[in-house]
Amino acid sequence: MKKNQDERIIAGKRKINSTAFQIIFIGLWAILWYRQFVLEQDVSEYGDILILVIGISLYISLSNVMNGFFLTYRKKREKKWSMVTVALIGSAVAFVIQLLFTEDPFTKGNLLSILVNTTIFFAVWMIIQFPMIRYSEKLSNKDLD
Amino acid sequence: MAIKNKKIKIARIEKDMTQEELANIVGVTRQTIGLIEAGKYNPSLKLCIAICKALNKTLDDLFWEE
Repeated sequence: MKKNQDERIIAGKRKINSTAFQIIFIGLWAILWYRQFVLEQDVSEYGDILILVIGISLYISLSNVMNGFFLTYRKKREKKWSMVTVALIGSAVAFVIQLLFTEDPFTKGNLLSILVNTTIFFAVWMIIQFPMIRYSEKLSNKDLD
Repeated sequence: MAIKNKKIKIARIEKDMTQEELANIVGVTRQTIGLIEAGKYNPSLKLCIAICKALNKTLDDLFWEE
């Protein structure tokens, strides 16, 4: 009989690797934000990490879409809820960061600028998700015909 | 709580096989067979079928719970 690799060990190793990747990914984000907002370094000083983080993020998003996993396992209502919640959390984080790192954030002009930026951020995030979900759904049903 | 799969253990002993021998036939480690028998690991359908073939049993015989 043909030997199959031990699935339990493969699954266990994948889980370990996945956890390690998540730790590294969060660490990279933390380093990036620390360098940008605390050390206030120039982009050229952390460009390599920035490219790596953006590259990994794009890879994760596109792979999910191309494999038909991008929110396709959720019910219609849950999907909408999830889209809005994630976009709101992202926008809230963006809002807080802008508040923290803007000089005199509570002056009328600055506050208005921050609010407009946050609204645009939220809108773009929402708009990007629609074609991603539609395409992912199309691909997830591809082999069912 | 894990439910032990005594059926596999009985079928294996009937065939006069050790966990190590069954593991070698289906291509997994002895520990995996031990964990399946102890009910602490859920094997994939592929592995279930391999175990059934190795023990000359059906899926119903080994994995169906009454």
